[in-house]
Amino acid sequence: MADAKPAPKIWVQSNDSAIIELDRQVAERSVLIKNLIEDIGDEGITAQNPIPIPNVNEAVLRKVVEWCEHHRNDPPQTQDDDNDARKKTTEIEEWDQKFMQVDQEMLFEIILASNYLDIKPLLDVGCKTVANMIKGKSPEEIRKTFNITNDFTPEEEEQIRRENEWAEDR
Amino acid sequence: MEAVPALLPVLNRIPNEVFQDIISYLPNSDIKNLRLVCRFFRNKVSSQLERVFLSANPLNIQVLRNIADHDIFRHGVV
Repeated sequence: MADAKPAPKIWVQSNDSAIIELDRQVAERSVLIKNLIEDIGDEGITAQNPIPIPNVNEAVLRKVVEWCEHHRNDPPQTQDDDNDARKKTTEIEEWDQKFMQVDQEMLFEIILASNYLDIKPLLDVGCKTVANMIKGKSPEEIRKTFNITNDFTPEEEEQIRRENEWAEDR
Repeated sequence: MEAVPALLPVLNRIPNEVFQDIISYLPNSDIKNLRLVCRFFRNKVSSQLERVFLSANPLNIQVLRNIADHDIFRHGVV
């Protein structure tokens, strides 16, 4: 909705000291920040006194802010969304798919940041992206995907194969 | 552990509940393959073997015994 007044601003600071200005509405996609603003009020948050985000560096924080900007008008998640129905599909909307086309380290950093900042829909997109990278692949193909070396002894590998036999395929 | 040279530092910071979140999107066949990738993933997803079917034949008795002796799995028996 168009508003005559400029949107209220919030400032956050990455762990490498970058200060990022964003609309309060965008920042509130993070439940952590939303609760923090509710607790302390937004008068206390200024460019000189930003909210410290100790676990997230500037590159990752800017990426997360980009996602929050795009999804600023999404309806807030309800409790109902948080059940198992959400889990069944790994489908990701097109914009989010493109957004997640980053190197693997950045992908996991985004997952970590969204978990810390409590941005559940972004965490879900990140987890689905990783799940899709694993889905339907053999162990060797998964190793290639993530550049992992097989560090098992033949005995360990045999042990896991035996353990796997006990579990049903679903 | 040098299994995941580039990604290990970031993977090590991923909390277990987030791994469980990722795994929740995968069928068991994929979870089994993931356990065979390397030690890191085996350790992260071992608790995911949630159901085992047993019947009264010698192989199944051996399976039951293995579970009972297994450091992680025996805590999951209900």
